[in-house]
Amino acid sequence: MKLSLFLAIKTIIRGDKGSLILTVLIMLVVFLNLLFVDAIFAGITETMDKGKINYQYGEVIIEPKMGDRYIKNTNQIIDTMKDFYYVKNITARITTGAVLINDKNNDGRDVVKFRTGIIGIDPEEDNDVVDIKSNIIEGRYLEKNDRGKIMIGADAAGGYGSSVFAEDLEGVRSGDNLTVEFENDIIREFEIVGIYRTKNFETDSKMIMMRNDFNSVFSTTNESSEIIMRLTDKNLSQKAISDLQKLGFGEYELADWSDKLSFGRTINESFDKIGLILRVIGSFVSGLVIFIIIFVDIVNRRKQIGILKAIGISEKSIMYSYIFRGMFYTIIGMTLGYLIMRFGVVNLFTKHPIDFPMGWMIPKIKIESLRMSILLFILAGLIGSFLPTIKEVRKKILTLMR
Amino acid sequence: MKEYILKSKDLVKTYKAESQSPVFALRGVNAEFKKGEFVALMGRSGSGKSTFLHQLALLDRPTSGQVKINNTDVAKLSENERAKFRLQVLGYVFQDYALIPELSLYENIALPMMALGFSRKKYDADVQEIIKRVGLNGRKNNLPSELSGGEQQRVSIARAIVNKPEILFADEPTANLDSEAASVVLEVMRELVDKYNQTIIMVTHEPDDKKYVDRVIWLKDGVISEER
Ligand SMILES: Nc1ncnc2c1ncn2[C@@H]1O[C@H](COP(=O)(O)OP(=O)(O)O)[C@@H](O)[C@H]1O
Ligand SMILES: [Mg+2]
Repeated sequence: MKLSLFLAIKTIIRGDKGSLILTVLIMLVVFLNLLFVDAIFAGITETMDKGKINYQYGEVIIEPKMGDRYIKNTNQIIDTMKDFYYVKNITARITTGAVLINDKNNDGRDVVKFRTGIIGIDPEEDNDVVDIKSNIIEGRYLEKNDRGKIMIGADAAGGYGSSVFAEDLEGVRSGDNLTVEFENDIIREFEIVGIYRTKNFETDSKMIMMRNDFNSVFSTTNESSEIIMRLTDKNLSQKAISDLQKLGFGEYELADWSDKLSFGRTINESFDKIGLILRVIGSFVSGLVIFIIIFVDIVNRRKQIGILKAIGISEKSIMYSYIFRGMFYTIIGMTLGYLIMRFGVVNLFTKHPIDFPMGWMIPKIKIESLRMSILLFILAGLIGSFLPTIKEVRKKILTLMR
Repeated sequence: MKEYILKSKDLVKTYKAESQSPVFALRGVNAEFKKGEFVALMGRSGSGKSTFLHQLALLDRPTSGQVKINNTDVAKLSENERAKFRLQVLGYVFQDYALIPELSLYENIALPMMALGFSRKKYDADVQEIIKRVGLNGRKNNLPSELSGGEQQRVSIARAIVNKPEILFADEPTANLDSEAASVVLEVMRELVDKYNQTIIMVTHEPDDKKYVDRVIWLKDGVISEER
């Protein structure tokens, strides 16, 4: 073993520097490329998760069971839960569906209708839980004493860049008036005071109004459609849910942020599949590179293998020396690739995140993906250096020395 | 009366290529070698000298017949045991030096010691001493490419004897050298025999080499034609 390592090291450091650099460079690029794609996928996933948590569901969300319209004991839940050590903030929202009507020229002729969800909030309370305020792109956030004022998401308003939806209001701006036809057929007119864009497309296609206005339309008082909790740590969400159940709130739908990732989850699964395919291809390429490098080298060193065998060095030691070399190229390539990724690429994108449709995306190195890639590359390196070596080393001494 | 450390009995080697007629390289060779003897194998090109040496030196397996080293029938050894035997009991010098180009003079010589699992502390003194013995003091960090042919061949001899082998085999060690370098190499070998009682079996076709050796075995068409 020691001898094999010795031979491998000497051959590497006293061998041709150009081909050494080239080999390591190829391994580096192949590995870096894989890490990069993986990190983009992980970054997108995380961005979507964050969007869901920050702009829609919080870490834990309480909703009525299917068929029920409202959560009845809203205040009781909020008063009980807000004292738990892991609860940062908590708020109740009330929601409904409605048709938004944009009468473009105020003459009833060029009218655009857009059906979407509406959220009634207490702006001061809601702002501690769902961050709309810092995502206002035009106008302002709702204020405590506002009446008949609304905010609308950029994807619903239209004209604020691309969106995932085919339809919108074809361009309303803050200051415009908007007619809303509620589910109970009541029609009211509101003034848009702000346009927001969180990049969570479900939030950005909705309209947000004052809780008081909502109550006056639906004659509601303290009912709510969802209670959103923000926790000190998103990993405590299951603890919060089990506490809610113990307190007897199991009659409601209790979900955490990860339960709400239906779309994100399918995307995640696709990413995992693509990631796996790329990893397999990447490690195959790296194994092939090692195979070619070792193969070419070994053909040029047949005589030397014969000499080593002749003076009594075991086939195993000779084989290991080539496998060590293959491993050296692989591991150095991977290490450099990782370092460039970790301290170059990730740092660069942390300073300049990529503007993705789902949010600002920073590539993220996931430990599980990294571990799997390393494992596959090492395996490929082992196979790639073993295959050409075993055949040659087994040959007869005189055949090799000829 | 010195004992024989190496014997061959009815040694036959036949090369069979698929399409061609077989080549009878050795056709029943009987020979005995004593401890501390310097023997030359001579004969015309193609007479079977190298083939004979390869069978004696465990680099090949004969078609039939026996090779005994220290009364061990080497045919009975497995490939692994033969490798160990070559490492521990035998030493080799080849016509083209056969050094590892990436290893320094010192490292080339130390290689068999490393293969035996010795640490540098254990073998350093031995290696230094052997470097002196072959007259290459002060060159130990040179790579083979920085040495002359004669010097490389002396490194090769040093590597072959560092394990203190019972028998040293050499196949035309001076064929690539000018006469001056050749005589230095042969003198080194002669000194090994005289001072350290080394057994050496050397293939050569230089008639002049006779003066360095104790005995010459002449081969002709795969059999011994004469011994002196
Ligand atoms: N691997 C081989 N295959 C076929 N014939 C061989 C092989 N090696 C040697 N020979 C033949 O065996 C004979 C003896 O060869 P060799 O021992 O190399 O002779 P020498 O060393 O005396 O010049 C020659 O006729 C040679 O052509
Ligand atoms: Mg020959």
